[in-house]
Amino acid sequence: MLRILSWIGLVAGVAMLVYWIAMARIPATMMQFAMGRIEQNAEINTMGHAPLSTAERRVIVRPSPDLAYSTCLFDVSHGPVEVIVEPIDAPYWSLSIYDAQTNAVFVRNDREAGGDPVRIVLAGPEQPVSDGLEVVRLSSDRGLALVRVLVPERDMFGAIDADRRSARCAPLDRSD
Amino acid sequence: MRLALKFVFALILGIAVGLGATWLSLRAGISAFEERSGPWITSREFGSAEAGNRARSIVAVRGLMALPASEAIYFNAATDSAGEPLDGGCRYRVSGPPLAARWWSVTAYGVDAHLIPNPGHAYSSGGDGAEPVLTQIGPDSGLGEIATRDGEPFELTLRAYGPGGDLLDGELPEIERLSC
Repeated sequence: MLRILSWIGLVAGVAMLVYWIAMARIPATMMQFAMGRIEQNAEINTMGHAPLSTAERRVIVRPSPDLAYSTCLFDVSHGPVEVIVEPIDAPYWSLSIYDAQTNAVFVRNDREAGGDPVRIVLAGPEQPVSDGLEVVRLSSDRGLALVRVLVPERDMFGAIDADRRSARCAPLDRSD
Repeated sequence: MRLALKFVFALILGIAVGLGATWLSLRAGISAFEERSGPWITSREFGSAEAGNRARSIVAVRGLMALPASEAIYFNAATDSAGEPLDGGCRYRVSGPPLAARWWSVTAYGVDAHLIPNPGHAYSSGGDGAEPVLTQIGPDSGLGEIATRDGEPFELTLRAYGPGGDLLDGELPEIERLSC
């Protein structure tokens, strides 16, 4: 009887361990998968501007067809990276920074920006950054900067697309 | 030898049960979250580092890179207000009072969490937060309506950008089946 209980306990213990490891690993694995797909269309540490989402363009799950997405797949392993978003003429826009674990570590929208550009520096925990710059410290080298711009009607996309292309992302030592 | 076999079998069975439990947990999707209002389900943990592993995994699989609740709140519905599963062959009206948010949008997704193909790119409908929520959904969608596919189930996501603090206490839109 004791042997059977021990055996059942072993099965339950292994099952719980596998469940825990799987749940802990899934966010980073999905993020890595998504970043790999984005990387096919844009270089690292540069801002790419995607067209409006369609059913045929399957980069991420549950895309919002009302939003124009601009993305920068960043890697701060060789130094800080600067992201700048100039004000965009749209009813809503925001910049969000996701780490490799899918956590949103920074979000700022148009109202919070108050008509000014959003300018931040992404850096690792110990990387030196000049005073006066707004720094977002990251726990992972890689992640994603995502600019969302609301496109109320699809025929407004042309003007909004032209406006959002001033958003940029580059290693800090090579930024404008 | 017999003991070793029992041990190996226990490992294999444990791994299988663990992976099965993971799959079931993810399959439950957003319906596993506990904040409900009519057919709409949401969580304040989207995009948050404070979310548990299970919530983060579900969001990673079903809606990667969600905004945190301070910036946007996502509501998901897989049934109408009467509790019937959403059917791509039926027509629905989504209607409700203005939301405490800067902007709202309603989008239809297939069960694979991707947009539903249609020639007119009629995927969603949206409006200023001060406007009442009103849109129609169906397989033969007209101008300004959201298209679904006959014979396929679908889900709706209601997004509220720039949510007010009382959004979750307010009335959410009703999903009414008009015809099938």
